[in-house]
Amino acid sequence: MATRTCLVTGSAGFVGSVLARTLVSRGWRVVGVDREPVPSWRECPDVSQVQLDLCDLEAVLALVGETGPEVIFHLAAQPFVPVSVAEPYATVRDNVLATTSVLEAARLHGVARVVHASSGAIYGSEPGEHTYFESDEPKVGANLYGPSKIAAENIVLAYSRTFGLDVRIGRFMNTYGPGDTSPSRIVPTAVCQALGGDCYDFGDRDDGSTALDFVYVDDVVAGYLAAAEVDDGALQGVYNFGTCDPVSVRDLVRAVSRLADGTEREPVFRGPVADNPRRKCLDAGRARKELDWEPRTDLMTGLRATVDWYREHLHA
Amino acid sequence: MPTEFDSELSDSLTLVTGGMGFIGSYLTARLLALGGRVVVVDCDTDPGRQSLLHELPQDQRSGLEIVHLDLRDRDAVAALIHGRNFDYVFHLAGYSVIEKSTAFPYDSLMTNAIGGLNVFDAVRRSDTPPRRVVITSTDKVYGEMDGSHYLEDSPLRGIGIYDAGKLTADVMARSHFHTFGTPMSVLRLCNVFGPHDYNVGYRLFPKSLSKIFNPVAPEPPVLYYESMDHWRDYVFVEDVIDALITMACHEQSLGEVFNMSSVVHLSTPSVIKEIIDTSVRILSEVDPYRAELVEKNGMQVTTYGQGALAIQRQRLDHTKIAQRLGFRTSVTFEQGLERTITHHTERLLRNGH
Ligand SMILES: NC(=O)c1ccc[n+]([C@@H]2O[C@H](COP(=O)([O-])OP(=O)(O)OC[C@H]3O[C@@H](n4cnc5c(N)ncnc54)[C@H](O)[C@@H]3O)[C@@H](O)[C@H]2O)c1
Ligand SMILES: NC(=O)c1ccc[n+]([C@@H]2O[C@H](COP(=O)([O-])OP(=O)(O)OC[C@H]3O[C@@H](n4cnc5c(N)ncnc54)[C@H](O)[C@@H]3O)[C@@H](O)[C@H]2O)c1
Repeated sequence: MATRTCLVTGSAGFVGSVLARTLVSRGWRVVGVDREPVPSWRECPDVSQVQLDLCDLEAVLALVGETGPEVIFHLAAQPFVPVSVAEPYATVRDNVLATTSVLEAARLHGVARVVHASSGAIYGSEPGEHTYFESDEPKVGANLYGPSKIAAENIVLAYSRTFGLDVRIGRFMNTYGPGDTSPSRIVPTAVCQALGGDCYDFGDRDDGSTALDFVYVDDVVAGYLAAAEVDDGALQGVYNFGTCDPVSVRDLVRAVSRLADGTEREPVFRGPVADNPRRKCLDAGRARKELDWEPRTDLMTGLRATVDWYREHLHA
Repeated sequence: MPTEFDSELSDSLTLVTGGMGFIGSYLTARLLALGGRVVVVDCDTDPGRQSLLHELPQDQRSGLEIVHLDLRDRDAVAALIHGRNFDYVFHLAGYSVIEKSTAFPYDSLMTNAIGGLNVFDAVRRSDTPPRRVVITSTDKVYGEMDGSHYLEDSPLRGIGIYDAGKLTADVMARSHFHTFGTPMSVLRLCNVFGPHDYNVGYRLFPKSLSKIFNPVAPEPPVLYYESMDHWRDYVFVEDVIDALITMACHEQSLGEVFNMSSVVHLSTPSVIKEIIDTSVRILSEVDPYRAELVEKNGMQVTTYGQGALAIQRQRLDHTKIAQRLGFRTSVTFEQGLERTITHHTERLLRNGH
């Protein structure tokens, strides 16, 4: 069988690098593209890496023209909510404009499918208990991340409806796992503090009560692969990927502490106390049914792998 | 019609993006008439271009400054907004026609999505922000209707490229308010009609009228099979100007989105029929020969073929703008039609044929 070629945008990032490596292991020829160089701990020698800014339409057109991918996995984004408040313009640029370049290149070069990384953030962040379905409407909240993802999804679907481009949108919840070194995410923060810090302090973003739907990175990658392969004759597909089993951030970081060294650290959360704590998760019934997708890694297994990875890399 | 807020604008400095266009030129003319100063920015300021602004008498133009600027240029937008203390900003510029957006998707999204962002971002960073930024969104952001009307909080499921660009600006405007307090207000318009709409290539009203009032000989307006069952809301352009001014000045509209009130809900064939009937009636007084031809021509029904996607039925609920802002339209569909067609008739007679 001929080698299949794909493009992975955001390949220097957390999820993109794991996806690129997995695709290589499945026999794909993978071209990775990112504005940043790939950090050493995410390198994969079999991914040919191109460094460019996806907002540069001409460069993206040339790249897609030269490499002729069958599928584009579009993961490049500015993915952090607090950064979206500090840097709103750059966020919208990376999340909306870069997506438009990718779509335009896919349209003009006849790419067979675009798999787009979206987020459970589009459903908003209202207090209280929520299980979201794909049919639930997006909500504009007090940050630019969710809204920029709402806009990007709509542009993806508009390209599909207007030009017959085959698109798949995955809405993912909080992804964690080996290789995520972002200091603004809860799992890496907890692991680093538990393995090397003197305190166990999670600042003023939360009071510890918020419960979120944590998905292990390998399961997320499996979702991308399934979305790329599904052959249902439709031109569009939108899928939630989540465990539907929310865990409070306080319970999460307690578990990390135990896994790190058996110690029961008492986490400090200095955020305003929530009267009506947020419990948010995604119903992944459609992905189960149409993509045969399951979150296969339970939280303890996933956290253990994450802690082990850190133990190896933090001291290396 | 005057609004209760007109006096607030009499001494104001206002930015109107897309001010050379159909709605923007009416807004600019009104603000000037109220004694305000207006800076119009547009990427097409060619004096040869048709625009109501070019027809303003000299004595009404003293407060007007026209700046050639492309909203996709972030630095230029910021320099303009940071260089002046605008009291109000009305953001109207953009690709305003569905078919053109489909033909140039990337450019259209750059203009409607990123161009809008450039305006909101410059206002957010301004040391002296305007009192209000009002943007014209569209009923197209809602997509296909679930029930009998769109409410302001109905889901946004726009389908085409135009819809996606407008939806992006609409969502960005609101998130700028929710996140930074940037003083935004969003008006979702239905189909607007009136004299001086020069988008004759695609829009139903100007396109049909350009056929009927073709200076050489009248031609039949075209009805596409594909739009046989399209139903839309319509409103006269001056009512839109009243709504924009009300939105800019009313405290209750800060950070809010409103559906525009409409004066009629009609199928596309009925609109064309109304245009033909009214033209025949008005022309029969001054040019019976043309009136007879227009009547005999009727409309031409044909297929569009290359389908730009269209929503079947669009209908705005306008309870919110009526209740919260006390806004009422004042020009009926018949009055608006009469004024639009009279304008075309007079222009035809003036230019001779
Ligand atoms: N990690 C999560 O919890 C999570 C949850 C839901 C959705 N997502 C989405 O998944 C995707 C991947 O997330 P991640 O955690 O791997 O993020 P990441 O920040 O680790 O990786 C994103 C990469 O995109 C690159 N990038 C951004 N803008 C670019 C541009 N204009 N040109 C070229 N490269 C650009 C960055 O350099 C970065 O390497 C994102 O779209 C994100 O919104 C992530
Ligand atoms: N007319 C309607 O029925 C209607 C309905 C719904 C929404 N709207 C919205 O109202 C606004 C005004 O509509 P209109 O009917 O006056 O349209 P119009 O096309 O007559 O005017 C738009 C103006 O924007 C200018 N423009 C376009 N791209 C620009 C850019 N990059 N930089 C600077 N200027 C640029 C054009 O030159 C034009 O003068 C638009 O945002 C449109 O989407 C109109």
